[in-house]
Amino acid sequence: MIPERPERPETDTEAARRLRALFEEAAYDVTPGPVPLADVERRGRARHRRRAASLTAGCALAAAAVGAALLPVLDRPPEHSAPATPPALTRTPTPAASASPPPSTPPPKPPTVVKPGERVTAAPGVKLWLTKEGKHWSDPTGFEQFRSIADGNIDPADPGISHQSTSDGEQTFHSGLYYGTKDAARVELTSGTGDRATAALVELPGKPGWGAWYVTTSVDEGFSGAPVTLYDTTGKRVAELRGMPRR
Amino acid sequence: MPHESVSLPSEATRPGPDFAEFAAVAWPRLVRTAQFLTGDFHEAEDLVQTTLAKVYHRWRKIPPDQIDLYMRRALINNNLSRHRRKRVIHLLTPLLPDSARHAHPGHADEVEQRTALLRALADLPARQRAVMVLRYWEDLNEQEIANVLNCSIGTVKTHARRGLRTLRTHPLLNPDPLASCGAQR
Repeated sequence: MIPERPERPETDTEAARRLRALFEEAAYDVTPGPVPLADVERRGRARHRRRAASLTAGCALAAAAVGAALLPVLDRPPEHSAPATPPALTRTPTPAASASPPPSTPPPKPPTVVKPGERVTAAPGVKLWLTKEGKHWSDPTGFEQFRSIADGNIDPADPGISHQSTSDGEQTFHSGLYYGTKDAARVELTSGTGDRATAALVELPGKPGWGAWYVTTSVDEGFSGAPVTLYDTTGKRVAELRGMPRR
Repeated sequence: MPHESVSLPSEATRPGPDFAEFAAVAWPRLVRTAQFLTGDFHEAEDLVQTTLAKVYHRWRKIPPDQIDLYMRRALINNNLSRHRRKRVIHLLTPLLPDSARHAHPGHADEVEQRTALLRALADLPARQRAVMVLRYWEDLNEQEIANVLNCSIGTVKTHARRGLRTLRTHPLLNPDPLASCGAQR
């Protein structure tokens, strides 16, 4: 179902009308030439070849990267030096309405500490890394995306969580920022059927009070637009991002 | 819609529109959108070419009914990446392609107006600028913009409110009616 269009309070204002007119006038003052289709397709094919070549040549490197991601984090106490944030999905069935005890929730686990710019293999072909500016990730084609913690859209002092997702039609890679707490321990997505997917967490050194989470789900598992919840080390829910309306 | 529609044939003929067909139809709109995002016509063409090349690479994996969403998202994200790579403040220049078709009386006024709008847009943060373009040029609603930018509707509303406020009071758009007309929300 196509969601109903939200109201646009300013649509009726003269300012909005005038702005639309300005855009239109400015747009049609320039006429683009014909699409350089041959160039576009050539660049697309070249890109494909580069990706294929780098994928082949980079297998060992990717394996090394995964290995590196699984190495204990040096600046963490020994009890926390379990494998670094696993890229795999951990799913917990929703507690049934029966009297049976609910499945145990994953134990709190501190985020994996990564260096600025350190690439983590977040899913097959997907790299994720942090800088002081925010979360970066790239898909198997190398297409880089970015979510800023510092562009003024997020108040890092107020606990919150964001969610971005991309899908290749079979798998959906979810990721986002969490912020406003130095005690983040768990991020969960809850599907429409109540299944939960537990994300991996990564942070920069020094407990900056924010970090990134990621998890991969299958498209048919109902996690599209799922609500996302952030818990702290005591198991307390500190932030929640409501899900998108389901189609 | 203030511009040509590129609603495309979809489910019936998957894999949907041929890439060449899509590119030919979408190109003018995409370049115009990219010009508002980048502030420069030549950068706009390059941005769209780069984005189309990436989309070409993944064309068969994109569901037909999501082509427009995918393309817009890719265009916006490529532009944001371009901003980060350059790591410099993009100073908008009024240099735009000159051609015989523009050599007519009144053209100077049109260029001036376009330049004023582009300069005003250049003063907005990149994502806020993207929201303004998607809203007032692409004519998307808040939900659609949120889908393109992978953010919440609340974020879109905030960007739109701040962006409109900035543009209304921008010196280059004064004494444009934007500055004086319309009550606050």
